[in-house]
Amino acid sequence: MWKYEKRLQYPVNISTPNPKLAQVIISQFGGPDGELAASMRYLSQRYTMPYKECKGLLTDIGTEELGHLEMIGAIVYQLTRGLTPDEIVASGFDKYYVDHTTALWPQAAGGVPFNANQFQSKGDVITDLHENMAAEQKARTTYDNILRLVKDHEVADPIRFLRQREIVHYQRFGEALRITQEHLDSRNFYAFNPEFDAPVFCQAAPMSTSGNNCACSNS
Amino acid sequence: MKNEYLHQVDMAGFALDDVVLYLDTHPGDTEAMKYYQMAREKYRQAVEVYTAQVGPLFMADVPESCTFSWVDEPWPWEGGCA
Repeated sequence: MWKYEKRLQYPVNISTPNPKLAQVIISQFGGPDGELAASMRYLSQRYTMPYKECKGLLTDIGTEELGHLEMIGAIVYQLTRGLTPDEIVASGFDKYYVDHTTALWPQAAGGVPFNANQFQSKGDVITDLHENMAAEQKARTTYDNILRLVKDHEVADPIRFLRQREIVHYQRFGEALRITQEHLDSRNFYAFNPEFDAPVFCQAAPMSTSGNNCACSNS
Repeated sequence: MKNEYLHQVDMAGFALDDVVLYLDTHPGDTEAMKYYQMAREKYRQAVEVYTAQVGPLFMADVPESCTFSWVDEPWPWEGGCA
């Protein structure tokens, strides 16, 4: 389950509205490489994931992505706060405004609604970890694209934080892929799919033994 | 001052978030486990101070009172107003 912590992972304090920029940044709310897709991707994949490290990582990154969704929501909200009808028309925000006023709704910058087809949960650990590494890089590119358009440091600062997290997540998913390959036959990683072809045990599967060699007395 | 209390929670909370991801893929790293324990203690202390000085971060930490301060503003997305 989840419990709410009443703060953002990184502060968002934007004093100057900019509806034009909000229409671009909303892509990281509900767009193809956005935070909603990221969270749903990892939290969906984890059920059938083999290997305890991968289950933990998908749970924790999927949770952090929900926090990033909240940060993007805060950025878009603060960029569209207190607008006049004239400002809405002049910025081109009118086409969004007519359907949603200034509420948050998950869509891409081009107006395409959020869709589960924007991510995959394939049920094959090698496939899914590659999907996740690609997803982190696509999100990093999107943040780079956003940063080229942002001049307000109050907006750029939290966007840079989010960009950096994509890089850390990419690194961690790469480690999860290495751990996965260590469990498999190095001559043919695709000989079988451990999410389907391997027997499923009700308790800790015999394959998930790495990382238990800790010297702590309470292990 | 309120912002300083929040800043302490944000910093310690971030250290914890980051080391947890590292530990997920390196569960046997004893140095990282020490860092986790240090970060967790700092985070707990910062949350305790924030809760006492500003308000609850968790719905289970609302202090005894005749009103429910969990709903007190600002909510996290409402920053940036003077």
